[in-house]
Amino acid sequence: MIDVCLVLEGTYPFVAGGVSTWVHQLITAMKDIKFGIVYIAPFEDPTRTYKYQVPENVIFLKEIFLHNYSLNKTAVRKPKKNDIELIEQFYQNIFKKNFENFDDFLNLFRSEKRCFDIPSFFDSKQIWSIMERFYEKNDLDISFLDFFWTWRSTHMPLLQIILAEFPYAKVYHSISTGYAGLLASIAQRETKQKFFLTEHGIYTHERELEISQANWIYEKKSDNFRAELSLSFLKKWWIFMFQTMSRIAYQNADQIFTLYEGNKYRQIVEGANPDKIKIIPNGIHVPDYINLKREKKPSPQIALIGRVVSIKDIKTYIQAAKIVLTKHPEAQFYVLGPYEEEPEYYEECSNLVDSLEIGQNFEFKGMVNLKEHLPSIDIVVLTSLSEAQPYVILEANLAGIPVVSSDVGACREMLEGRTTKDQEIGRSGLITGISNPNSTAKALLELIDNPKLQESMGESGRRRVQKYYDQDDLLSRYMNIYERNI
Amino acid sequence: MAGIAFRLQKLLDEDDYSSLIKAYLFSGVISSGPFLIVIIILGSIRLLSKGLIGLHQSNLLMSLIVYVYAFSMIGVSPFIYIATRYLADRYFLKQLSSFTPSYLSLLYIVFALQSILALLFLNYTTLSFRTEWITYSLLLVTSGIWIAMIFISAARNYMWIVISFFLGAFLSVLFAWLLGQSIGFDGYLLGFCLGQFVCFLMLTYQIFKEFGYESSYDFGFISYFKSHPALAFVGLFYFTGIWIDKIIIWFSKFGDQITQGIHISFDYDTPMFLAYLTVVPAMAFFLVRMETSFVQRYHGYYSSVRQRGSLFDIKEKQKAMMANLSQSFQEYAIFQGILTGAIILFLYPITQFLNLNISQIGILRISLLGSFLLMGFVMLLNITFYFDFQKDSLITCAVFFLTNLVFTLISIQIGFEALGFGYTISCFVTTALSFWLLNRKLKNLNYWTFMKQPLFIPQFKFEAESQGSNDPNSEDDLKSHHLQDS
Repeated sequence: MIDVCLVLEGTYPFVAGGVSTWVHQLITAMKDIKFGIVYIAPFEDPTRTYKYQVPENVIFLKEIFLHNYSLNKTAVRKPKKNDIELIEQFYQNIFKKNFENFDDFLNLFRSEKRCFDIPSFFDSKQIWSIMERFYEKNDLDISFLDFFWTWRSTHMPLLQIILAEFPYAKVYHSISTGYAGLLASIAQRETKQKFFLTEHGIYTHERELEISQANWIYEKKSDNFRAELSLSFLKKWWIFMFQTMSRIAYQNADQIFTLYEGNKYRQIVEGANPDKIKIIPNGIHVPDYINLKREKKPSPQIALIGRVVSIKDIKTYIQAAKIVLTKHPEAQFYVLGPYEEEPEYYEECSNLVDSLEIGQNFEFKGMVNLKEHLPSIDIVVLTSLSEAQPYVILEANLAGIPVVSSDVGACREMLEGRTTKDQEIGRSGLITGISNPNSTAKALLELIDNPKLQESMGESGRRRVQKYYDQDDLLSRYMNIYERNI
Repeated sequence: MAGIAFRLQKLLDEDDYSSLIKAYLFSGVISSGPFLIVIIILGSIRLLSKGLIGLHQSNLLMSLIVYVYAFSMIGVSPFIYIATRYLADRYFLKQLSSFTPSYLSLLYIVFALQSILALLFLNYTTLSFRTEWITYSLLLVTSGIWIAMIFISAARNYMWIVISFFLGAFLSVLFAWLLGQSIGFDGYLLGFCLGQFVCFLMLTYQIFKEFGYESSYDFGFISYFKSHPALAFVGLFYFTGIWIDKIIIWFSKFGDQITQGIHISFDYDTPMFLAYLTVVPAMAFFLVRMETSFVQRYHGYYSSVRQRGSLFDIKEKQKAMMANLSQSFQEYAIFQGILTGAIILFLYPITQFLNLNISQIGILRISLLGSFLLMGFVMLLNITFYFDFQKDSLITCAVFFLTNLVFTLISIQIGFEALGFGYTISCFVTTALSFWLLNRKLKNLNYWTFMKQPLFIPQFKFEAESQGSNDPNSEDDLKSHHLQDS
């Protein structure tokens, strides 16, 4: 009997990454709980490999492929007029953000009297005319070919999920909205069991970024050279679909967990009930860093820890370094992280270092063992344009190093405290503006000129991470939630 | 008949009266050449041989020629649409070099098949060995002409084709007259055969000349029996359907035995063939209409789909195409209606001129109507081919065959006065059914165009294939991760 069925989309155990590592820790930490995994992948890939050693308490693993469409004829009857009306009504309701006939809609595909499967749905004259009416009712004049294919390619994977089989479990826990959230919602509806949702990054937001930049979605060429202010109809369609999937997951989830306040607000905006949302940040394995001995060097040692990619905005860091160096020419700046990912960006950054003539004090270290470097570093800098809940802040703070970070993601609450009690610990770093070298430089100078502040902030950081970001504590919160429901 | 459209369009573009006549002449030959010619030859030889050979021998000569035509048409029938489709695909792929090898391969197969049938049949008859050999040769030559017809519709030198048929006909009559005088019965048959052989050689020459000769065989079309089995049955049912009423009547109490194994019914056949003659002009007329003004609108419709037209555009094009079709049908109905009406009006003088007996006149009257309807069916069938509604083609051709079989059997039971009604009612039922099916399809054409696109599974890169790319977040990966290209 499966206690907790994790519904995962493109992550654990076949794709390495932050979320996968977290899932692995979760499962490993709860040896007594029997896990099942439903893994949603875009397509079947026999060459994929396990990126993690799956623990023994995972007693079930099933893969669902979004695009290996099941062409089995599973319908047991032909759709009747009221079935078609139900579908049309369901679609109309979706646009009003109303999902009240979701169960009836699912019954058309999943009940004992189901009347649709993938072949019959995509062959149905009635479904065709619903689509035709939709196009005409909305007075669209976009390419019908693209309209049709967008309809088909958005609906095929959706139907694949709607028709998917899943194991019976006491708790369904999906680690994202999207297809995983949809499947978990269906499982909850059908089994009447609990559904928990954990969202690390906001799925809808990530898809929106992808889609707005996608060039595989057809757009009519603009007649003038002005940049388009709004997204094309088809791009909006894709985004709307992901929003709707998230909305369904938010509405059905019994509890929603996310990493930090900023995410919570986005979830509320996307339709989640605030009362259901709890914040459980990602933690760190405290013994790994708590015992690092500080080895202060004579000159200020400043580091940005991260890949050399444009989203980390290394250039702002370089410019800030230039400003700091005019006052403290002895300071040393490092970038600790691989620079192979965006070779062009790395080249631009090196050129910037050269043209600012700070090459003596600025070094790209590449991939390094962080534990060897951390003890000698005085300040850790983050200039990212976008972050969720960056692990480097936990690492630096736990090692007693203050952090200067741009105001993105969870950075502010990690450095200044989230709750009142948390805030009472004191600040463990300084928040700066985004893409603002002056602001970053000002914060750095404040810390360099004030070693006492460095020390007290480092101390606050250690205390905060131990108190609020201890991985074992955070995982045990999930443990409690599971145990209450199984 | 992929190629003929361009030929005809080019002819009509010249926009003068003589090229219009050329176009009609050409399409008349293409659509009914061999049939037209054989009726003319039959009449001529019968006139020329009058008094020179006995009535029995004259009847035997006619019967043998009719049998050769029936056998050759039915023997070639399963290959006709298979080969047409195969060639159209080659034509589309610009692989014209496979025309001649396919032509030769088709000849090998059909000749082998016809030889077996001929051997079995001629062995049963009590004809002289020499007569059997000439009949056998004529069967092969005629089959060869049918096959050449499939290929030359794409040929450029249409005048050569027209000349081939007329010269072949002239030589058939001439040789028959010359050889008939010296050798007698076999001379007429041999002369006829030689003339047709010249026609066959001229067509073959043209095929070699236009499409080149690179290889002596290409059996690629065989695979189309597997991929498009309906097309083989469409041909078989249609051509067998054309002959089945005659065959039934030959071997009924209304048929006359000429010799062992050869029965014929002059009372039935003569008016039937005359009735066919009356629709030849309409056939030519319709072919020109189809291949020119209809084809333009047909392409207009599909290019508005492909070139990303709005649904409104597409529906406008659909309407224009349907309006063109219904106009063509109306014009046909008026054109052929007047012609058939005029013939019925002047039936008495015509039948006097042709020296028909009173029972033949009765059958002619009803079969004129039948042929009028049959042409309607042929036109509808043509359109069904254009849209590749293979299932509908198969249904209507099967219905034609079966109703002609059943109603003719019933008409025999009723008596002599009912002959011809079976055929005409069958034509009516088939035409009405074809019209109903096609109309239903065209009204929902957009459904068929879009929804019947195959449900394909998009191609993705396997993990093993994408290894070595050091950019795990490339756009391709993101794209394939959640979405698919249309």
